Amino acid sequence: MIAEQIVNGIVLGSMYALVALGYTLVFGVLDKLNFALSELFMLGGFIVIGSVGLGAPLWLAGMLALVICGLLGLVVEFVSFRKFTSPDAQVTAALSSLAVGLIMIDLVQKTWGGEPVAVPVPIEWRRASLAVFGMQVQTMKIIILALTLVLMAALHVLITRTAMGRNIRAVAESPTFATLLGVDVKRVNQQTFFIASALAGAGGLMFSLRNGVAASDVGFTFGLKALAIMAIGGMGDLRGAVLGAILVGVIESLAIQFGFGKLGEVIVWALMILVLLVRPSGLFGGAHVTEQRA
Amino acid sequence: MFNRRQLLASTAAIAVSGHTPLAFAADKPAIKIGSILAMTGIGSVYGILYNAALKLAIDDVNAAGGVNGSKLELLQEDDQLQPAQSVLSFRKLTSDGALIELGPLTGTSWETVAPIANATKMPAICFTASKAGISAPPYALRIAPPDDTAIPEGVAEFIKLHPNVKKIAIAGDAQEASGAAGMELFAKVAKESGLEVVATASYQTRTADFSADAIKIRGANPDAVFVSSLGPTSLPLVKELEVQGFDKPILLNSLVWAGAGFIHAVGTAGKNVFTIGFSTNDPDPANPKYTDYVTRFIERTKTTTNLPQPINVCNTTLPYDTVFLVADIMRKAGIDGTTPAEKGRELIKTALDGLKTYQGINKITMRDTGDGHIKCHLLKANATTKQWEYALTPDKRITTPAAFKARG
Repeated sequence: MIAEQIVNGIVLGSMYALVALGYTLVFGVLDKLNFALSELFMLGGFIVIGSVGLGAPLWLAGMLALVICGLLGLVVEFVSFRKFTSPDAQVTAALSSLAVGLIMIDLVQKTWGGEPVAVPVPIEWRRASLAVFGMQVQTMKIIILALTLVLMAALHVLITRTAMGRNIRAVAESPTFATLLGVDVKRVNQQTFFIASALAGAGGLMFSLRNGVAASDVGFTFGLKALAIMAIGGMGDLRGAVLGAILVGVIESLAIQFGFGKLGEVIVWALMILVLLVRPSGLFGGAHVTEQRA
Repeated sequence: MFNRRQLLASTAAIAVSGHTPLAFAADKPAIKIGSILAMTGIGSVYGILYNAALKLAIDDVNAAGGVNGSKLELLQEDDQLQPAQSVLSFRKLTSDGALIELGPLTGTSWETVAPIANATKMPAICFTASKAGISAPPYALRIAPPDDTAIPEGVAEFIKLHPNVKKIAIAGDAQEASGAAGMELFAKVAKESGLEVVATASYQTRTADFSADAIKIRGANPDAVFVSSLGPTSLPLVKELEVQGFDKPILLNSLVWAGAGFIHAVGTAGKNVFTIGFSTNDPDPANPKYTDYVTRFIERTKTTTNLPQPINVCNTTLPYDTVFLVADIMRKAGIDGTTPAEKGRELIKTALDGLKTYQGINKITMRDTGDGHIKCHLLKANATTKQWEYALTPDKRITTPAAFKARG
């Protein structure tokens, strides 16, 4: 049972990781907090419900969720961040993105109501399982974990091995120098927002497929945890976001197994405070950020 | 020609004689009744449902001539299921001149508002919250049956239907008052019924992922699970239990019965799901008022709300009954739109304090705790028709109520 909870925690953590990566990417590159990412996570499931309702097959609905969330990320970039470029406008931009997120929640509730809505996934898909080391693990969990790892690997390759990634790293280091070197900073910002938002949408998509329901309030819960994870891993550090997310997922699962489920989110926040007390820059913050950006 | 005074006098005479033409109700100012419901946010499905019942009742009262020549006017406040907002809404309704407040919905909100009702001398009636022991007479009454009678009555029928259930797991929302209280009552009733509790899974209202809870429950291998949380929170747990291969009965307290979303979204996971309540959409030949209400309420929600259809009437008869109860009290106390708010509230409080039974659509017996009692039964989810149905046929239902002390 403990091993099963650990596997479950890793899968849960991998979904946290997708949102936390989105936060970390935007924060690491733009030094700004995009609170709307939480609600793009929430939208991932509802886009699937809407697309399937309009007759799209599930695979297409999933692709649409990623693309639409990515495009909505561009809208957020334009509405909430494009005009607020000065360092002292960071709070304004963050609040603006929070407002955009609240509008998304309201629109979803106006369309689908306030209660969770069933996602059209055949129960056979969700119940199918494979034997792994003598333990029955649901196929859906394995797929989610594999997809998350693929997305993370793709993100790593994109950031470290491609021209787009080089530009993103250049903007992260210094937007002014990047401009002098001929990098189109506006385009890099848009690319970053698109990627981060599509990742959040992917996380929401997987979460709703696994749980069989989409809920309008799920973004709030996941978003707050993702922010805590970003702090635990090290602000702006992609590797820290992934490991922090998996750590939180595993701790949460084990806490429930051992009867501490009622503490819920308190555990995450207590862990964050503890980590920051010991390492103020997070588990992988500080020197690593410089190294990564160099 | 009649002058104005003569016209009013003859209007009053007609009203007193019982021949009350509708138009005459508009001559006096309206009587203000406040309501606190969650009209937006996670609880809006509940709020919209009960609001439809309140409005139907107020339309019916006004269509029958209103109260002592005054129409009823509903002042509506949205608390978004937040206790702090419930308090602000309650104070606003008091200052806006409402004679009585109906709601709020949850146990957490009701136990916050009820003491304030006494402190401010503003009558309030709750028709939904299920946590026991939180009403505060004489100003704050609840006509809904709380869990301390509903759970024993529901569990008794559950055991009758599933005599082989010996070991249970209890899961619930430890953060929300009704959810947490329901968990304690499930544990108490299980012990009294000789059931062994082999696992307990506690979560929070905003918990999004229930996989770890489901793994824990499945691992304890209970014969059944008793769940105490609101519909939006219970739904993902029930679905996750299905995914985990848990194919045994799940008994949820009345928090999921009341609402519109759970039964519509539960899908195939609903095949083993039970809850506790006192009505279904089926007509009741012995109660024509109820049958008529069901037909009209379903029709009303189709045209005035975007709630998923077919709607389950569930406990919406209670807000309807509450409006008629209040209207009866006002009629008898001579309250109309000209009655000063403080005087009207005192008259209502006095009548509520002496209330022992009320026969509306439901027969409600008032307890010494300030709560109502209606005999509850075990209901089963029908995932195909998306309706709650009685789990036992009438001849097999338990008619003996749970122990409680009625008002003397």
